[in-house]
Amino acid sequence: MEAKSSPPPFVVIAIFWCAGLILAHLLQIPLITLSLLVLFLIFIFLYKKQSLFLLIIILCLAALNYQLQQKLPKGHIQLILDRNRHIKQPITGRIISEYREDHYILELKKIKKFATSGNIFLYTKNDSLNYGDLIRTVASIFPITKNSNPAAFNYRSFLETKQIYGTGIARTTIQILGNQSSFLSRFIINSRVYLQKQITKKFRKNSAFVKAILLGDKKDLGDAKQNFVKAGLSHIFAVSGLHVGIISSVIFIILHLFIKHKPTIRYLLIFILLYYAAICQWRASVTRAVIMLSVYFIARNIQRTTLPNNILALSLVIITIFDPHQMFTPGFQLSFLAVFTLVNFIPKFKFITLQKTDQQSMSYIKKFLNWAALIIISSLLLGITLAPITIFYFHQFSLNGTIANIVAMPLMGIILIPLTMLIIILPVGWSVYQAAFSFFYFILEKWVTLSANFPLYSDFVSLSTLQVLLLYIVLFSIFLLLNKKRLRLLLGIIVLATVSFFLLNREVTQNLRITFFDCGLGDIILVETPSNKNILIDTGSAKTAKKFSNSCLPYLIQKKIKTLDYLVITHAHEDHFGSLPNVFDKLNVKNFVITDEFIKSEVWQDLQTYYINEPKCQQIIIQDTLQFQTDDVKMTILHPDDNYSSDNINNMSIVMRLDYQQLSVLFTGDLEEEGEAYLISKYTDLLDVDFLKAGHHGSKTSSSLEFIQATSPEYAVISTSLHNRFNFPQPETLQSFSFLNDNLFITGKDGAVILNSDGSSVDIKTLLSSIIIHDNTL
Amino acid sequence: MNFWQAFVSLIYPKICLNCNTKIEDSSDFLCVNCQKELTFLDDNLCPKCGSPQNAQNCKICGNFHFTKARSVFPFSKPVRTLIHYLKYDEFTKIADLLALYSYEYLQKYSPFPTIDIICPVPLHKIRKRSRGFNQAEKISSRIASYMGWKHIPDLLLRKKYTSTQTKLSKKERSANVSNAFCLNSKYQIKNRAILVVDDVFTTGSTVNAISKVLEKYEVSGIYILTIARA
Repeated sequence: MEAKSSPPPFVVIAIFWCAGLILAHLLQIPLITLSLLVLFLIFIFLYKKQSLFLLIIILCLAALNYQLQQKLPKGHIQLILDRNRHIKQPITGRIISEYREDHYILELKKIKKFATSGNIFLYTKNDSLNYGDLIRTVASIFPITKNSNPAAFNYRSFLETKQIYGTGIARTTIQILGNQSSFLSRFIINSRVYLQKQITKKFRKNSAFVKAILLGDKKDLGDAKQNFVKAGLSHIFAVSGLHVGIISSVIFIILHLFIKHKPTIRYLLIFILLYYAAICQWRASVTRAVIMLSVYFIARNIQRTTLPNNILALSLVIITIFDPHQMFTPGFQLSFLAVFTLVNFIPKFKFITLQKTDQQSMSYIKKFLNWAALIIISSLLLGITLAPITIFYFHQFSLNGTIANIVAMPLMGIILIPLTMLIIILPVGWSVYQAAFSFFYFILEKWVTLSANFPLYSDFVSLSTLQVLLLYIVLFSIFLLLNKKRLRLLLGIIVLATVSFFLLNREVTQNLRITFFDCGLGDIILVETPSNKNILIDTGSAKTAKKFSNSCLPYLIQKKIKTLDYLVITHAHEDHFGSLPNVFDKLNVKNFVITDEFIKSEVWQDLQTYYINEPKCQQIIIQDTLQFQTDDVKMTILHPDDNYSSDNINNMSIVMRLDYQQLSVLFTGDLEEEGEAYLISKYTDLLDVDFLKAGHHGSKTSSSLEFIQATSPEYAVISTSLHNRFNFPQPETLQSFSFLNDNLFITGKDGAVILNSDGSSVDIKTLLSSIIIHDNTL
Repeated sequence: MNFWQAFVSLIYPKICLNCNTKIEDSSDFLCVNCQKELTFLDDNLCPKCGSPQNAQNCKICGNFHFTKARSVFPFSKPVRTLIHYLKYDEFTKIADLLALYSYEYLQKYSPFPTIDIICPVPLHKIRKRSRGFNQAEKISSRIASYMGWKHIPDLLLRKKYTSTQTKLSKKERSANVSNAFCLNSKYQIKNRAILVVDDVFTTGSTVNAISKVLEKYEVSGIYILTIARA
């Protein structure tokens, strides 16, 4: 299509609509102001009919829609949980779906006898609950925990977009009061459950893959997904245009055997596609594809041509009318941007988008080459346009799809998806095709594993919101440049945006920053020195939800820290070294600091295999006290020395003192009273610090009064979860530290503790309790 | 324009099929500029087959068995696009438009004497089934109603399934369609003047094969009207 004088009408509407949603997302505009504004504008429009007013009304309506759907009604569970840390009450509610085994989504109706609303997770061993069941039980309901670590995945706001606000545990047997569901919704849920069962039965070990590509149900996929992401093939799992297109053409052919009139078939197909979108739970990508295809079908029937951008814009507006929050989810953004690229960027490359008439005269080899070029260029362009979003949300991007798609696309489109449909549809005789499916899936898996190792993948990247915007300004300007209009202006914009992008990317000189991560029961401490050296003390346990990869790694990725100058493992306990394999896997370690007791221990035998893969890593074995200096920060290892030994591994913990100008911090590992006593006997001045990491997660066997006196800290941090089988932090310890008042931090309560110092003053920030302290009396 | 129409044109703005620009007037398929490009095929034609080349000394019409053939337009861009959309994209409303142009053409030039029966070139039932309609029939029925002629859509039958003509040479086309047609035994056509309607006249193989069939039934005249002439 050649350049048109004006953009398609719905594109203009969609731009104003999106602007409204974004404004409402950024600023909280009061509902009354908005409503009055809309009324006022309608009045003006009636008086003076100019389409600009109409567009501004659309903008305001979008904002209004966003605000209305965000507003929680009175008695909403979120509002109740905001006031109480947790409630235990008799509740009534309606089962919406089974999320996982023993794990339902419940729409709350009543708490005691007061009306409430909002959805929660409900854990129960009762596995006989069905969709629509109205139930009564006594439940403990907890709020979804807030983010306690910097840059970590925000599970709470993720669930909020799914409209889930709490976690409930059924404390009594569940009483079913009846079923409250419409025929249609029950039919759809049952269809989904039926299909899931069919898939499990017919595909067995490949069922996770089939569920993902056919129903968008990715929860069984597990680690298999990561290879697809690395290979640049994650689009295979987004049920989208490709799938919907193939499914509708197969159904079209079947229906055409019985129905002569093509328009009738198309109207029927629209209903079938809507039904399919409902089965896929109205995921953004499938809903988008279904709306676009339906609008196209109607166009065929009423004999109109369609403008791809126009129906793309239309589907965007329809989806965000029902759920405006979708617009701020990565799935939605990726889906729309991908189609936008396919529709607008690819046709600019005229030599690959040939007309039918050109193709007739081509040899098969030429046709294949042409097709391959189309796939390569489309994949590359898609990779580039989607990269800013994947970097922003997932800190990774892959252009491997450029090559990977040449095999994967035909394998999926021509073989695997049709084969899947055939196996699902056939009531008998499907087992014949099962072997074929397994074979081709095997090939796909091998190919994916191979292409995952192509070099165009990176996972330690991050961008700020502003940088993402700048990148899109550059990309969009380049796209406009292809139209050969206003060259100078566009080139100017590109240069300006690129320069500001790199200005933003510049490393800023920073203060000393020490982060005590909330890693459950365990220790993870990161020291970033002003000269950009990084020291990690312990890796935390691998057996908790807040393990290294969830608590600390996202922060490292965001700060693009891929190399640790020092990795210190204080002692041979799982809650300190558990995630070591993960650390070696994800990061480069220059110096690995451990004790000789650790080397001799049994656990090291297993860990060694991971360590051997780090050829450049230098091992520093602590047999005696020593010092190492990283430019401006001095680290002194005080313990364990050659003369000391203990059967208690905790007492063999590495104890370190950090000095940066005026500031001093003591890291004690899990050192207990015996070790503390030894230190007191050995050192005098060296123990006195400003900031103490209390030993052994607040156990009463550590932090003796003598030791606290010797260290005399202004601040202390205890690295532990709040509810655990050891009852850490123990009341005796808290009592010993009570003189610090609010200057004692507990990671389980306060979240990650971040200490920032320029050497003469210190700023302390906690993430969960949001405490901010500024102290310049060091 | 009422509210509903305005809404529909928001979703489906009318775009010229030929040049993709916005259509400003009330027509459905072509913009003003492309409408202007539609010119009737009239001067300097072969008196018999209507060929615009070699008007005086036509080399191709010696083998033709029909009385006279005429085409409304040359087979060039706007018409070509319209016929393509009609045949392959089910834009059946285009048939009405083309019939209207044919009516204007017939009114303006009166190329044929009195016509008794008008009929389309038939499609084989398998092709008709897969396409859903016969584009020539859509056009011929409209012309019949405009002109007040008798329309018999099933006057001719296609008994042989032939592969598509578009990729074949003249010789192959002729062989491809020979013996493909027969007269529907329900109808008597002796001493009648028959007008056969088709979309495109390329080499004339199709209409010639039909003419050979009609000839046998002692009709008074065989006339051919096609929308476009290649």
